[in-house]
Amino acid sequence: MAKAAKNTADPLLWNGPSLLVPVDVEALVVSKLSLNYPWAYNRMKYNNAGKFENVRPSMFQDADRPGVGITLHWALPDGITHGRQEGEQIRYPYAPNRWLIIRYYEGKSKSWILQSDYLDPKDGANLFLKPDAATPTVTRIGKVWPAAQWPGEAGVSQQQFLMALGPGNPAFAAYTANINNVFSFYDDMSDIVDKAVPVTYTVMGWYGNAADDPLNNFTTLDEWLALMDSLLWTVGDNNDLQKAVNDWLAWAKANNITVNPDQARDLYPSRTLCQGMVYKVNWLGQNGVPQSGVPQYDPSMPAEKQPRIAVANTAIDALAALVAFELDIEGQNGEAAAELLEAFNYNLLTKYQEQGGQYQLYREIFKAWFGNHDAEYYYYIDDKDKPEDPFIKPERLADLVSLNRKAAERDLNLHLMQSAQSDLYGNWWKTGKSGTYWGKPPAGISAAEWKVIQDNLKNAIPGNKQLVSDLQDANRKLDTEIAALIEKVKEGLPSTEELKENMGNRYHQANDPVVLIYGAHRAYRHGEDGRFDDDDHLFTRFTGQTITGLQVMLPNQPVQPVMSDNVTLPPVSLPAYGLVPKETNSICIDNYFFDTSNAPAIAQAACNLLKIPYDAAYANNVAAQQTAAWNADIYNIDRQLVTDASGFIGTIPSKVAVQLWAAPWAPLYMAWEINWFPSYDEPSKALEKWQFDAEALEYVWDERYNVTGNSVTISGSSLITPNSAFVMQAQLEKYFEDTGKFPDLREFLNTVSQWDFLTQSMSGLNELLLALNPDQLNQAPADVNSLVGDMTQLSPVPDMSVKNYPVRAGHFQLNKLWVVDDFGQVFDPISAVGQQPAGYKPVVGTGMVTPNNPNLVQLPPRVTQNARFEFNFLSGDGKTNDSGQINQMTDPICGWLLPNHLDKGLSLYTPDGHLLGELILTGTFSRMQLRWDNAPGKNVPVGAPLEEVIPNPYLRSFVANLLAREDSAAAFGSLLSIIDETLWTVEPLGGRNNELISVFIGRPLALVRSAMNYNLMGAPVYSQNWKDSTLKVTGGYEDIAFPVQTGCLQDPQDGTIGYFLEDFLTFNSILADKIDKTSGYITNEPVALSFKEPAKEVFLLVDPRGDVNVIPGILPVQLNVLPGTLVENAMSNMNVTFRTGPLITDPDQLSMPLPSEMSGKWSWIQHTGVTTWEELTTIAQANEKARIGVGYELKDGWLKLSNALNDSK
Amino acid sequence: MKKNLPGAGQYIAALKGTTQVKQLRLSLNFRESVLPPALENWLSSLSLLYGVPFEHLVPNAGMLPLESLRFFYVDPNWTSCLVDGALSVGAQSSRDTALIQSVYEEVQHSLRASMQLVRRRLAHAELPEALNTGLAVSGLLMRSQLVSGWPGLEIAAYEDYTIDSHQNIVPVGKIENLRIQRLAPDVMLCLYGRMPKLVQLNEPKEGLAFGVRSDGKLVPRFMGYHTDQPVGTFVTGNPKPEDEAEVVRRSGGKNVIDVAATKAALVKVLNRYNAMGPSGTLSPADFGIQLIKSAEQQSFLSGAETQPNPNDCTDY
Repeated sequence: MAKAAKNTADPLLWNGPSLLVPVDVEALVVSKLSLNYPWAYNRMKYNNAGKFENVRPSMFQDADRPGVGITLHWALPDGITHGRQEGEQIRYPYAPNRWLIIRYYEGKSKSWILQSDYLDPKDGANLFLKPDAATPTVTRIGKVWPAAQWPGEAGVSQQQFLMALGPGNPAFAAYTANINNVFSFYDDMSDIVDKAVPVTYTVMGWYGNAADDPLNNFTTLDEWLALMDSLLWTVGDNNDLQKAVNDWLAWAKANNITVNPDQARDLYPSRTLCQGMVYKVNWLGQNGVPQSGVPQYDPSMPAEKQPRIAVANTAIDALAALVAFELDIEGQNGEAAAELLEAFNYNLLTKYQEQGGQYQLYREIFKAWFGNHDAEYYYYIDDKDKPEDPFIKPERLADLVSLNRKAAERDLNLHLMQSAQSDLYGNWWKTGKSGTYWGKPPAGISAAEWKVIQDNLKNAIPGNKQLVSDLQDANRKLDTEIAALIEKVKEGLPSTEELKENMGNRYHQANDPVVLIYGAHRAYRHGEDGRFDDDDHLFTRFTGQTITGLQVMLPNQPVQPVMSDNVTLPPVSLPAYGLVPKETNSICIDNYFFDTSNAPAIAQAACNLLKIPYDAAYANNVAAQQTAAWNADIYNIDRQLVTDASGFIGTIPSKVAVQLWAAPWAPLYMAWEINWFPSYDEPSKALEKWQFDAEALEYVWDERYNVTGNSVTISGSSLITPNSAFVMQAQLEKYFEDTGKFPDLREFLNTVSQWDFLTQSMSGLNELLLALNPDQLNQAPADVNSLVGDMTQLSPVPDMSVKNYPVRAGHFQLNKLWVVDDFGQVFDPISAVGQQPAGYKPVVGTGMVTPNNPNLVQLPPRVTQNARFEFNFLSGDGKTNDSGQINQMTDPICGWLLPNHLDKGLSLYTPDGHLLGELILTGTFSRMQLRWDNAPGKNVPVGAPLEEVIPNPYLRSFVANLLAREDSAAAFGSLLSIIDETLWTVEPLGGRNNELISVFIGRPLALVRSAMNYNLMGAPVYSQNWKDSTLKVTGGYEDIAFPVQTGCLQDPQDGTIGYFLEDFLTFNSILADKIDKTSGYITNEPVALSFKEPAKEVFLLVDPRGDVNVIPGILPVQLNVLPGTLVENAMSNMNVTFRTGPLITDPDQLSMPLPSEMSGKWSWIQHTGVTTWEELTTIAQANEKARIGVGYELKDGWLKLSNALNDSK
Repeated sequence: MKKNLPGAGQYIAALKGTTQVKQLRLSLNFRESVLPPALENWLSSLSLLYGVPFEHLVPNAGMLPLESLRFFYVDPNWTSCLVDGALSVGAQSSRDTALIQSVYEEVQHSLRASMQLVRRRLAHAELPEALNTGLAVSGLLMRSQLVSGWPGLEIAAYEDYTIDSHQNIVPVGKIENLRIQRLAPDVMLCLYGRMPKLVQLNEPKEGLAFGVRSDGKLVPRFMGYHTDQPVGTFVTGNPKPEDEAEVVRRSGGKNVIDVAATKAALVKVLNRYNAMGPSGTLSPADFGIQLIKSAEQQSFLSGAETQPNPNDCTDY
């Protein structure tokens, strides 16, 4: 350490400190006997890249095994594995490309340096793809040097590509099979191959090129702090930071490094130095007993302790089902506990205990079974003043409508373009693949057919290309037009108004099933390295903060500091000074003092210094001091206190950096294989064995059928994402604490299971069902590649034996399920409890239970690709077909119907609340007739055509069709009773501020014009097999009429009474079978729509205070609500007339009692002749005051209340 | 999805079932009392015809001419309909009517109780310990100068009466007024919770005065000289012509009382009723008692005994 201070020429000896970042080091000990276990030690088949073959290996092949010896692996810090959003792209930081490994054993050491970015097709350690190649080119990566032979940066090349991600492999840095000598090191132990010797490893990593270092880019302290924060690293608070700087300055001084205190880069680390150790690795020799960290079970263990698999639509469903199952075993109420968990998860805990809250919870649960995909944005003008009568200038509104139309078109085009890109890529892929057959056609295809297929593919590509570029051009044009229109709409907008955008109805795709494995022993290695510190940041140290000694505390002896000078450090063979970081020596000392193998030596040194005889028991005292710092409870105490208490001299690192060896187990992948039993052969018959049950929100299996037929084997694997799926854990604990409810659930979650749940979706299942394969890496030539965009992830599976399933409907049986860890170790929860997959009964979540067959998991019908159900309000006057999304001023109300329950009448109003007239039953009981009475006060001739009376075409059509019926009276009676029947289930909760008036006038029902349709995102998916190439064979699933239920009785907030279709011939109600249907006017025909059909107009009769639930079954429930202002306005205009009489009154001064609580204007309308009317606007307040008159008359007429709502405000 | 919810049909059936309606009612805050207090008060006032336009009670002047008095019952069906009508304002579906129906009996029950409290509540008076369970509303409607001219006119109704040995009416069981209200300067409405057998209109006892009846005669009073002759009570409650003593005036037409002659006339009647004191003469004080004119009273009887003649107005 005598080298001159300033050495900027050597990149590893600069004047600033390094940041010592802990890495988690684990060591897998493999003896010959360990090789008998199943392994998923699978190497990427990069030599298949560009050859139309799978690059990603199957997890179940159980072929390769790690070598006998010790495999070392370190988890890169989360700050380096996490990407950061930069514009459209996610950028990942580079990973350290130089790693020093030191193995200490028997007082000796062995050391290596890894050149992780070494690329050479001949002698690299692992197959890899050349990072900068235009087409996939195989090479090999990783090289190990005996440390002493390391030539330094001058002797090797520095490459800028190494990241935590590998080509087509997001788990590259985590999975050891492909990263030997990169982020993993295989030590064959050849020098001690038959000895049983505990060994200790020190791992240090750094960047060969300072420019790659994520800490490199700063000039001020603030910038440095921001960098640290973005990397989720910390050195503690401001005091700690000051101490770190001071420690560094002291170290620099001791090592003769000149520091310029005015230079931030001289005070704060611009270089990252990863460091970690694992000590006391129990090497027992190549024939030692196997040491495995895989969870071990024994079928005789208590049931609730055994591992179990739950399959469900969501992680929370799986947990709820598991909890229900486990509690039921113990005879407790599992179902209630499961519902509590769900309510907790969806934040509906208080709501679901209210009336109708349970339905709301089910609706939320069902919604969570689908993933979302962005849809178009639409624009609207938002007025901060929230005026009651919003107004937008007609010209501006026209522009806004045109803007929204174009935005919708752009989104439509975008999805169509993605489909076209898929077509293009698929056809290119097939063309390429067909070339690998060398003239011999694939199985099941004749030579003649093969020729046609190949020609078709070739001929299709130019058309595909054209379509993609046409759509791209169209969208570029739309982009410009949209931008211009946005400017135009914004121009001159009043200051209170603002143009805003919002996303339209999203597309949904059913989730891949989620598997929860209980008892697989989750690990915290990846993504949770900040877990030991308060704010999830990883504690790091500066150069100079390493441990330099230990204050040895022997019994009955004074405290004796033992420094590195007092002990004999094992010699480490290192390259020349300057070729490794200047901190290397300090880290070796640091690690020495943490290694309990060195306890006897440290105790010995202390005895020498104290001049007392050595006692073998002293080693235990020292070892206890060495491990005291890792005691779990002390983590909330100040770091310095812990350091002082344990006696370490220096700053102790995060626990991540120092690992006492245990056999490793860190789940990384979940690999699955299922037997898929589709419920149909022809996609057009996908619904055949299912029944739509709107009360279940979806389809139920028709139990007349058995699940039979040939199954298809499908397999895949998913990376287990580290973050806990159960964010409600802490909240739930508080709930238990506060309420004391559900003690059994609490006991199970916290004590029995200790939240040992791994959840992961069977990702890729939907794509595999569409015969699309995610496991390949191919690259099309530039003319195609420039057009296909991102649509290169999935390649077709063209085998004639593979079908595609555009509707996901059927059952599956779990065939294999493996949890695979970083080292390729395997945990099989089915065989762990001594069972076979064929008889295994997984816990199945709600909606997936197969009636009478617990071995199967049911997948009720869903469209496999992204789709949406649109339910929009259209303009009620019928003048345009713009939805409320396109035109925010759309008023969907065709008119109002006000049933009079007591008199069996129905008053009709215009959309803005003016009375049109009344449908009323007249005649005798035996012979009732339906009659239309014009509004009292309207001087319309008797028998005037409805056109003159009812301006709204839809409202008129309703009246005309009803009057035209021969049994109009019976039909009308049925209509009234179905309305009455439905109102039983509508809770008048929607608290609009018109409650007072509604008491008087009753519950006006709105006739609302709406449109419903199904949309696929992009074009329909089609068969991928060879024969159907370029033919787009869909199997007819886009013609299936999917029923849709409108309205829901189980939701008290739902105000739907029923609906008419465009012909207004019958009224549809869910409750049709509850009433006398003899008239045939009331039916229950669900709206049935296929994906191909255009939007269908549906005229809803709704209580405006309620919602409208529309239940499509294959997609989440759509909820819509009438815009409040429209309702308020109409209600405030609404004149209500009450047929009144006989009234005894003075003919000269009409008087009667009028409600005192009610404001508004009352008037009296009476006939003066057959078609003539008079309206008396002054009504004297009649009361009990005695007025004795002689000429009083009995009067019949209509009492009219107007403007009630306005005045009552 | 399997749901723990009843199906739509079950749901409706459950809602319509009696127990569910009860629960529904409970959920609508009917638990504590059948009706909210304000509503209960309003409806019970309505049952007492408060707010009912007068022309709906008396549609034509001929039904209540000047100087007339009408006794009546209030038909409980009519008031029940009235309440029903008031409640039906909010009934917009069979659900609402079912709801009202399910509580209607209880509403009626509590109205029958609270009707009896309306007047006390208005007066902030103490509430009674027990209520009349056999409520039958009846009343009287009077259109007379009696109402306009005697603002303090008292109207009292009794369940029954007896006639004592002196032929006086002895009322039994005063009936509490449910409502007593002057609806116009000359129109008075009284409502009672039971059917009265005796109604007495009493001139207000506003002061002591000397005087005689307009025909110049008076019925003498006992002066307390003998047992069973309480001071001040008339010698008979049913005077015959010979029981009346004339207040004699001197000649000259100046309306000056001839004391001696008057005294003689009084003594004559008093002697017949054996009411004179031991002195055998009428002392000035005794004379004074005889000439006290007390307030007048008109009794209306509907019992079996119709004596004394109810057409006569008496002092009391």
